This record gives sequence, structure tokens and C-alpha cells, in this order.
Amino acid sequence: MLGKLIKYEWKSTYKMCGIIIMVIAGMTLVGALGFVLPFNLIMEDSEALEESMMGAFWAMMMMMSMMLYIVALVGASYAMMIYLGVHFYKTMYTDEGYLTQTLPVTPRQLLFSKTLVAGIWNLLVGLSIGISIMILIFAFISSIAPPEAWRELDEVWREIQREMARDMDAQLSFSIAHAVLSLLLMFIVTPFCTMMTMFGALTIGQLSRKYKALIGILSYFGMMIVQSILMQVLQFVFTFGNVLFQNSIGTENYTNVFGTYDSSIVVALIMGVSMYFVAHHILTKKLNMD
Amino acid sequence: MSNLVEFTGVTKSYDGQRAAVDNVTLSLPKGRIIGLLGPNGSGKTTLIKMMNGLLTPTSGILRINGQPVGPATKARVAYLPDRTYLAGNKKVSQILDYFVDFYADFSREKAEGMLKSLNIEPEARLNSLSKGTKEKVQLILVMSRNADLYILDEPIAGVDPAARDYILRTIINNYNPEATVLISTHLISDIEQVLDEVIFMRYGKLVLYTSVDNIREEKGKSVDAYFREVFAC
Repeated sequence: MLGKLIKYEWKSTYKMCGIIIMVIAGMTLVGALGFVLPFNLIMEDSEALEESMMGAFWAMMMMMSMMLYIVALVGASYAMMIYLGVHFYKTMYTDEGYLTQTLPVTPRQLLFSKTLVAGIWNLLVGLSIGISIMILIFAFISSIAPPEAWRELDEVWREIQREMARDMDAQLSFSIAHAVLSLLLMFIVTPFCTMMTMFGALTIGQLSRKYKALIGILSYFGMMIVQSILMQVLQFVFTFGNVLFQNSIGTENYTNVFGTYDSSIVVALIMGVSMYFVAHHILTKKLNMD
Repeated sequence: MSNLVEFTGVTKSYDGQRAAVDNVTLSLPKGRIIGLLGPNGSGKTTLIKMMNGLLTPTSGILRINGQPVGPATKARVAYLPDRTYLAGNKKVSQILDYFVDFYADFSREKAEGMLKSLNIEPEARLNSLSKGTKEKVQLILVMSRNADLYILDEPIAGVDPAARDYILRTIINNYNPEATVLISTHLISDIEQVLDEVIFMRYGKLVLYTSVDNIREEKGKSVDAYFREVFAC
């Protein structure tokens, strides 16, 4: 049954989520063209452009396309979250929920299928945004750098990696492997935990008799506040622990950059797992469909 | 005859206020068509929702086929709610696929036969159909299952008399004779002829559970006339 739930959840979300990712792709193209083309024009004939005031125009176009690009990316990210939240609420707790909640499946299967599919979409949108930014940076560098600069850039990057590995291991008391693992875990785990937290908060709204949706949304914001407080506390613990550790081994460098990432992964996991149990309890023991 | 549904002291109250269903103890046997009757706010829909796991009882025990309400009972209960629960953007054929996948007792052939007899195009999207046709599609989905218990909440409310006849015929001709059909309605005179037993509810309490023959023999009245007498304002 779990496989079937995942299949139908995927089928019912792929159109809208696909559109959002296509918008990101489209905006990447617009952003790259809008940013790189005027730049090329300025670079090619800067004096002429300066005289004809066209330089200011193209500079403004660049700035506007950049702003549009950033707004579109942030908007796409929020649109995905809102869509997935609305889809969850609609299929679980409105009229459509009468079908979902009477299927011969367990609440655990329902929550798992919805969180898995929503988490994948959230992950994909994050990945799309990351790729989009990289494309834009690549396009920008390509437009200003001669081909031989790439080889030099490659060598610079290798040197940075070597320095980072040597210095960070020796001075900052964390390894590149730890950093990569932290970032990877954060990138993979956080989207699923974020969705579970949102679904849990929306499910808490079901405890209200009259204002289920409103209480669900307020619960979500409440969870976000709790999450940021927890993160601050954990970050402090990580940093303070690191200071004590550094003192005990006699090092004077107290930097612990990846404590931030570690704490955000831990907090996201705590929130996601807690909200899963809360949602499961409500679905099993407290469900009140209007 | 063993009982299919067992309510033991079941109560449902919201926010600690007046109970929507108040301490109901009731056993429903297999193989009957039972009318669940009562005025608005009498607790009929609450009772039905608890049987389908859409509401959790505040107290008491509810069992179907000897099991607490859960995935196992939902696999054997076919439920027609008092609202459209299908996504409007779906085609009728996609909804049939969905039911085939989730309900082992669903007969696609039977559903397609009923759709054909009503000239409902399987490729039509739900939101292109009229309200009455949507209700018929939902009824077809429910009656195409070979369930142990059919629960129909207001199946003939809001449809014209011709559609009512069709709905009642569909129920009578398609339900599994070993199963029990529980029909909640206000329109008693329309369904009286198909009922074996009736349950009267008022203010969340069970007022009466008896056979239709009993009412006719002992009271000398139709169910509709007796209902009007019991619930006279």
C-alpha cells in the first residue's frame, strides 16, 4: 500500500512542482542572458556607451534582471513550500480527506508517503536553485574571463583545497570530510524534515474545533520560532564545547564554522522526528474531520 | 447471527461541551438494510464518521467485524459521505484506477457497467459533471465494492425524484446480500420500502432500534408516520 500511496502522491504533485522547477530553469536563462549580454556590450564598447548614455541603460537592465532573477528564485522556493503545504492540507483534512482517511492504510504510511514525495520536491527545488546560481556564475565568469583564465582558476581552486585540508585539519580542528558530510547531510536531510515539520504543524491545527487551518499555520510559525531558538542554543553549545576542547589541547584558534551546519541538521532532525510523532498521535487518537 | 458492528458506551463530545453522540450501545447484525434516522443534529453523521475512522470516540468501544476501526476495517467498509470527496481535476477512469489499486474488493467491470448504463463517459473529468452526476459516480464507486458494510450518508439528499429512484435501485441491486447497508437520511418515505430495520436518534442518544415490521405491526403505522410522531416538535 505504501508504494501505491507514493505513486499517487507523486502523480498528483508532479505537474505543479514540475512547473515551478521549469520556472526556475526559465529564470536562469533570463537571468544569464539579462546579466551577461549587457555586460558584454559594456565591455565591448564602453566609451561609446558612456557617451550615448546607453551604458547606464544596460547597467540598469543588468541590475533589474538580477533583481528579477533573485525574486523569482526566492518566489519559486516559497511557491513550492506553499503548494506542498496546501496540497497536504487539502488531501488530508478537507473534503478530499474523506477519501484519503478512509483508505485501508495506516497513518504512518500516509505521513511517510506525503513527507517522502514533498521532501523530494523540496530537495529538487533546492538543487535547481543551486544549479541555477552556478550556471549564472559560470556564465558571468565566461563572459569576462579569457579561456586561459579557466586553467589558472582551476589551479587556484586546487591550491585552496590543499590549503584548506592542511590548515583546517591543523588549526580549526575539523576535517574537509566532516565539512562535506555536514553540508551533504544538511542538503539531503533538511528538505524532508522541513516538510514533516510543516505537515505536523498543519495536523496540530486539527485539534482546534473551529479554526483548523489558521491554528495549523500559526503552529507552523511557532515551530519555526522554536527551531531557531533551538538552533541558537545548540550553536552556542557547539561553539562553547569547541572552545573548551581547544583550550584543553592548548590551541588558540577557536573557529568552528561547521558547528552551525551540525546544529541545523540536529535541530531539523529533532523537529522533523518530533512532529512525525505528534502528527501520528493526532491522526490515530485525535482525528476530528469536519 | 453474529454482529457486524458493536458500539459499547460510545460517546463523542467536542471541547467538553454537549455530546454529539452520547453513550450509545448498539449492535448491528449482518445482512440487513438499516435506516439511520433522526432530525438535524441528532448525531447520525457523527456516528457514521466514527465508524469510518474520521472521528475518534471520546470514550467507549467501537468494533467492526470484531476489530477496532483501522486499516483492516476500512478495507471492508464502503463509505459514501454526504459530500464530494473526489478531486475535481481527475478523470472518472483515473478514479476507477485509484479504487482498483486500494480496494481489493472493488470490481472495475461492475463500475464500468453502471457508468455505461448512465451514459457517464469514463474520460470525463469530475469537474465537468453536474452535481447529481458526481453523486452518482460516488455511489457507483461505493456499490462496486464487495464490502461487509456499506455506509451511505444522505445518499438521496439534494437529487431529483428520478435520480432517487436510480440511487435506491442501484443500492438494492448491487449490495452484497451477506453485507449490511446503513443508510442515513431525512427522506424516510423515499427509502422506507427498502429498509429491514431502523435506528432513531435524538440529541446524540439512541431512541429506538427495531425492525420495520415491528413498527408496522405494533404501532400500525409506516416508519415515516411513526418518525413524525416520535420527533414531533
